[in-house]
Amino acid sequence: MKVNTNLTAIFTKYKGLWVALDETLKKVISSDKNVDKVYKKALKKGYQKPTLFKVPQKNLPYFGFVK
Amino acid sequence: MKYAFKYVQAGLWYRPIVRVTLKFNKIEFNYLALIDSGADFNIFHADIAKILKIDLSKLKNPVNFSGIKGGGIGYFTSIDLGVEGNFVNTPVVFSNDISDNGYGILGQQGFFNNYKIDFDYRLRRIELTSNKK
Repeated sequence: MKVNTNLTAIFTKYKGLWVALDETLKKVISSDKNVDKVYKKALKKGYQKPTLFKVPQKNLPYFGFVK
Repeated sequence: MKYAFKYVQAGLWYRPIVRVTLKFNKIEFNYLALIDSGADFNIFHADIAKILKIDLSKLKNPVNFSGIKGGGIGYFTSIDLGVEGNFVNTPVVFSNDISDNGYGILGQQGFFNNYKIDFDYRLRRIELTSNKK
């Protein structure tokens, strides 16, 4: 299975949102600000083990992680 | 056991973001997190603790941590953390204080102590070797 490692489009389209991705990381199954909704929607669509990811609000050079 | 990953591309940047599996209370899902040798612990978004049915208000061990700009509070617990289906029970900190521009973090205690990690930025490749015999 080839896994998508270029998430540029997801970083651009889903800024600040949680996304659930399929096994290949190519398909966004669901997205929302609320990760619980994202997870439940993915389960409802039949994805038992989605990949959850919080897309950064801004794709800045990264040095640390706290607010 | 060895596992190979490619760096994730996000526009101009290539980052060591890998897919791990979180398991607790018989609930299991995957999560993309950044491997960060500068972090002392695994730190994950508090929101996902709710999915795992972990009530952070009942955890008695808050931890203060610091980063580039300031600090935050998180709550220690332990969960099963898996790489490609192989799990280790390991400490994690769940926090609401991860920046909106940040990531879930795989740090020294909880990840680096479980794997030998080789970064090859030139080839955009990460290799994990499990310490489990």
